Amino acid sequence: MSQGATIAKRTTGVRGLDDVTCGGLPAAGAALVSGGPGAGKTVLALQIVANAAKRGEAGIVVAFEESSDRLLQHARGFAFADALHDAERVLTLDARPRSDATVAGDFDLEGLLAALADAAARMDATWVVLDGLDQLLSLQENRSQALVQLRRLDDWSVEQSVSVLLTSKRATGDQEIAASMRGTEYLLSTVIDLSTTLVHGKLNRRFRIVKYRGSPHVSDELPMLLTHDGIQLPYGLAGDATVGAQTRAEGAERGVDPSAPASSERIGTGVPDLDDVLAGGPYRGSTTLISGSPGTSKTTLAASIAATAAEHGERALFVSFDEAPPSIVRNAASVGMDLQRHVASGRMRIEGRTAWSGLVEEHFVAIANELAAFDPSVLVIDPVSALLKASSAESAYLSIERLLALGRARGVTTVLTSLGEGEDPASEATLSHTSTLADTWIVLSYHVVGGERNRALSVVKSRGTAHSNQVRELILSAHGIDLAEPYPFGSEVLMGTARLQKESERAAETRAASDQRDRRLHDIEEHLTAASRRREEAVHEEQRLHEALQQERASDANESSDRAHHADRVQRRRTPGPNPPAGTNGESRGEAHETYHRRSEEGGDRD
Amino acid sequence: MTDPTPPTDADRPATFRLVLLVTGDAPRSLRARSNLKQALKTMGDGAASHLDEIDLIREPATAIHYRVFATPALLWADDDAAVSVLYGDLSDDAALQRFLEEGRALRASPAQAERS
Repeated sequence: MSQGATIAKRTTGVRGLDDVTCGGLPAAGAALVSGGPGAGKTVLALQIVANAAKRGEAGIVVAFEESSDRLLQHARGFAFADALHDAERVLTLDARPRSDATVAGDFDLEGLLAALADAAARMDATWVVLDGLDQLLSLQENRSQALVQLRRLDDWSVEQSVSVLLTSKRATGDQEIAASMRGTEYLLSTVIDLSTTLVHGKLNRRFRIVKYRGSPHVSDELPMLLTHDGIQLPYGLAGDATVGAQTRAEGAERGVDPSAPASSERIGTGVPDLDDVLAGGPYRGSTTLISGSPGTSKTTLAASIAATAAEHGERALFVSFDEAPPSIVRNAASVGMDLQRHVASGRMRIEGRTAWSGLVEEHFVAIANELAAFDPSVLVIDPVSALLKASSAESAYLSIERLLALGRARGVTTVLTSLGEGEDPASEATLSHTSTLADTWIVLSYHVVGGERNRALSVVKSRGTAHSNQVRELILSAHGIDLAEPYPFGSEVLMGTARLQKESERAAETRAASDQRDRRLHDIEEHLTAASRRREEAVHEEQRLHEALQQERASDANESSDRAHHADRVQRRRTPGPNPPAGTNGESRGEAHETYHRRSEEGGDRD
Repeated sequence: MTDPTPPTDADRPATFRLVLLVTGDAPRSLRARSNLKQALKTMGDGAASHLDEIDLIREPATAIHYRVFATPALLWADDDAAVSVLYGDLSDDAALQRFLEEGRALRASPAQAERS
């Protein structure tokens, strides 16, 4: 693939064509452009000559199929037509074979080459277009002669160092090349085939380099657009690398280097709680996918991100496929978002497009052009799923991928919204293709519990971010978007009325618990007071009893001494002498015994 | 530049005539030249006196003027335009014969006489 080894080329100036051919068509030699009727062969050839004329080169257009005047008239519908009328640089020759022309034997194209060589030398022409040469060659009785003539033509163009474009029609898309030109595709080293297919009733144009000897090239069949600007290949080389290549020069102009390390800067979403969930917001230059069922406020959230960029003085491009721009402004205003201010200040552009009205490729080109012209830092495509409705011969996902690559190369932060079908979480899988491309995937959904719908937001993924995985309730109010504090309850996160209900229940419970605690405290305090009161009483009682005891003891001692005195007195009275009389045994013994007994009793008490 | 200079060869009469377009000594041009000469001789009515032979390599503008780019080619033409064209090396005798006779008839017609 070394560029140095390839043949000398001449730039065509056709958007995308110079990319897929790695520099243009051979600077010396003939290239065949084949295709069915209306595939755009002649337009492509005329556009290349017109572009050359604009660059100051010269070209000769030889019309074999229709008059040169007619040819120029057809071209009038295109933006490049004026350049074809520059007589200094463009010579158109009417070379229609006469309808009554007859043939007697072999002929050659030497006369044509002589005329061309003369004109080319005078004009210093670099391009020669032979449009519909098969008309002339078909007169040739000996078919092999036609090939000989074409080889001669190819050799001649190499000798003269001019780029020759031969157009040749095919009856229908998959039929072979015109009979008179059959074999040309093997003979010439450069062959481009244009075709058309109908997809859902829409004409899709296809471009393919059948071969390009001596040059690297893209051999895939590519979508081709034919608009007022002429032909363009929206995707250039297939794949991101090439879209990058296409925009690298532009990027350099803007000071954006696509190969620069990924930004670690976060951009705000305008919803502080969401920024928190995303650890600061999406990365600059990243892609965010917001998917969800209808009415989950995808558009509002996307608009919020765009408005936040505009708020910071950056430019935001909002491409809307579902709603007209005025209704987006109005609806955003209902949640307190003033988009009109940003539109008026020129920081926001809202583009309304209808998905069905064009091919996916046309939308792609329109958005790509807008990106180049407006140079936004945030791009919103709402919803990107609308592109799936647009007609294309190839998967719309590829277009989306290319669009994202384009945005990335420009350092644009892209926000895509996508309609998830139904409320089935499994339908998220239908977005899986887009979601793999997204760096951040926010899913908006409804939670239907207890007879109401509540909007819920969760972050499915966010590359390079320690994001929260909690499902949060999304609240829209006149003050904007808000995320409710997560309210986990058991294994669920409560939302809406259930959350409010639970919140008030929880508050009541808390209140009850605190009341109970207060009561218990109070009780204990009371008990404590009672206990200390009782303790005091007991101390008093003890003291009193103590005193009582002392008193009792004191009084008891007096009494026993009294008694002792009394007993003595009785003793003394009964026994006047120290020995009791023997004569009075019975009575006196009994009395004595009794006395003795009482003493021992009193003695026990005293101990 | 769509109006190339018409041939201004002083020797060429401004009349309806037979024009043979050739390219130098290309094999087909040589063949056409001899085939035509042979046919005219056979017809033997002096048509050769009305024959113009133009080498497009030397006068490339003539091809553009007559809008004839395949060579060799035999034309019935006046100064303004070719009236009828026969492409090829004229190896098809019958076709050549027909072409020459048709042209002679045209030349004899009053309309053609007026034009010349």
